[in-house]
Amino acid sequence: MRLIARLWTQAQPVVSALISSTVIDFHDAEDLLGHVAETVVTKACEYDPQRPFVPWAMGIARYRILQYFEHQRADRHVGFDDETLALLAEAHAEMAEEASARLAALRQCLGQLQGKSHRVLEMRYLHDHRSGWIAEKMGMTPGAVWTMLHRVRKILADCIERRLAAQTQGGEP
Amino acid sequence: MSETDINPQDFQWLVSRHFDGELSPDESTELEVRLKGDRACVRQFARASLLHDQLRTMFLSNLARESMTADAAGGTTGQTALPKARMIRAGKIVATVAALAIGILVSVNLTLRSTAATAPPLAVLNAEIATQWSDPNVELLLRRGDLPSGPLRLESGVAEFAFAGGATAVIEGPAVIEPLTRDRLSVASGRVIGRCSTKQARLTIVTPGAEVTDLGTEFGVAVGDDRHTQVAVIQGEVEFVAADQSRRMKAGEAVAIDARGRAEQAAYVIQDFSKLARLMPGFTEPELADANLLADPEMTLAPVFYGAAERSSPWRSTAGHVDLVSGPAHSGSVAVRIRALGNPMWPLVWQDVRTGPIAGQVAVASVWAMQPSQDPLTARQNAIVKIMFLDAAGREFAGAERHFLRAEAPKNHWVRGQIAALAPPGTMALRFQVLLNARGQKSGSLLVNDAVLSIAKPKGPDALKMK
Repeated sequence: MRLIARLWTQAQPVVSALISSTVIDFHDAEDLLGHVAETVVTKACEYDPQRPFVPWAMGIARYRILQYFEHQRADRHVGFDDETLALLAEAHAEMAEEASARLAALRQCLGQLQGKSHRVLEMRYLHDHRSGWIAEKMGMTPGAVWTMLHRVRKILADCIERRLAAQTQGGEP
Repeated sequence: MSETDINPQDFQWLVSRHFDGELSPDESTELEVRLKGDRACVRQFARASLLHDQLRTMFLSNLARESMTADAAGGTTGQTALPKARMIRAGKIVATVAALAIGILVSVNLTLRSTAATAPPLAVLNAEIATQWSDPNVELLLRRGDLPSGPLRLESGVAEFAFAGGATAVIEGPAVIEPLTRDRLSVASGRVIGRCSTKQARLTIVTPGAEVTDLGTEFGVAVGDDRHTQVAVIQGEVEFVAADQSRRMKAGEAVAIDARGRAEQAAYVIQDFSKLARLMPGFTEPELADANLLADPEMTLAPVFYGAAERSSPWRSTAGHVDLVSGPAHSGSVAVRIRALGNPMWPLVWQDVRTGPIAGQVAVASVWAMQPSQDPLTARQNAIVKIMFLDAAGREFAGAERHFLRAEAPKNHWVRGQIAALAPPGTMALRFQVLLNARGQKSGSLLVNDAVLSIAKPKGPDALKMK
């Protein structure tokens, strides 16, 4: 069981990312992550230590996500099919080893954001507000909020890539 | 980059709006088609989703860290550090991993959840004084109004549970208990006081040697390490069933029952239980209360965010969740409103009061609260009134709280919540708090008004005590 715990530590960030990229509601995604962890425990005896753990955990996550979509039939367009989920799970699993480095880089990049950009991110990610609500509070149009969120994510993504590249080259950007 | 600079066909733009839940059905279909048709798009999506998820983690972690920093900096600007620190999503990871490591499934469920309404638990935490649970996640669940499955180990302190059947049980640690049904409690060890304040309420306490059922009464049950059971009737009558007999007992009677179910009279037990019975009074002894220590006790000044430099109000609050509203108040014409707004934690309003050394004195906190019909509490949300004990450095080191005003209560009706506890050695200040157990729900609010925080010397050896 300790082995499973150690392996889960590495898998959890990418499993969480897969879930929150497909289940848009943060709270539902967090619930789902709990269910996946629970299933990992109950099925631990079925895990073959000779095989990689992350894809195994991803398989459980995929199953749970599909179950979630089944329960959300009224909103079918929000869900991906299993083929797409499989592609995404594979791509997420490949990032397991770099997840912690990306998190560290994000911490530094986020520290450089200020003002309205930071405030919009806070409203979206801390308070879980949607664009319409943010637009009303910030005196913006919803379209401007979408643009700002897109722009800020792009800035952060570029910043992370620069920092990761610099780390591999031994310097700080 | 303006709105007009965006190319709607830009894949990143599509992904970004997907994460915000803003795609139309056609756009969602387009996103999926592009993911299936291009592995580069899949990798790009995965990187973006990791960023999306880590941003959520980062903001929640920062909130908790700010809270802890403010708390460590001193009493006046502190937020409740410990609960928030436990509530951060990073804590969820730890809790989950811990659960995996020790194989306790329930710990996984204790992780931070937004909790869609589910069936009400068999029993909920009603109040606690200086409790220490063997698993900190158990405390988290209990404070959120959930009930972990399986036995609960209370290491120290006193906890009161309200059972769905209407009874309450006060448990003194160390104890191992497990609510079995809406009116049955298993006690493997420790001391418990059962109370049935209405005719409909029933409570049966199941021990290794006996089953004790109240008949409209207050009674105590203790189970020792030797699995012997002691039963004492404080008020009314109880019936106990042991291996060799079944009998009724009246107030003032007590028996000792061994693990095989053999019972004998044991009147000496009564005195211990009468002390425990006073640990969680259903309500106050008003004579305990001296002068109100709070500034602006009517709560007429708008609370300010705990990190703000502004000092226009003695009340501090969780940013974005607390404001002042005009209209019906318990007294006056304004009240403080605390709103859930999707907060997975406990948005709150609080005030710190420097008291000097008050160890051994009883601190009493009370507040009036109501749920407005415009935005009533949702399933299993509730109000909490809490006293935190602070040391000379302004750090919280003990606390006591009462949960009250649940969603089932009448709307637009003011009720008072109160908690009393003995100040432990080292107490130099008190923190008065009113919290909303928001449970991640977007709706639900409380109006609060007329707060009281007072201290008084305990009255005699049987007065309120705190371990």
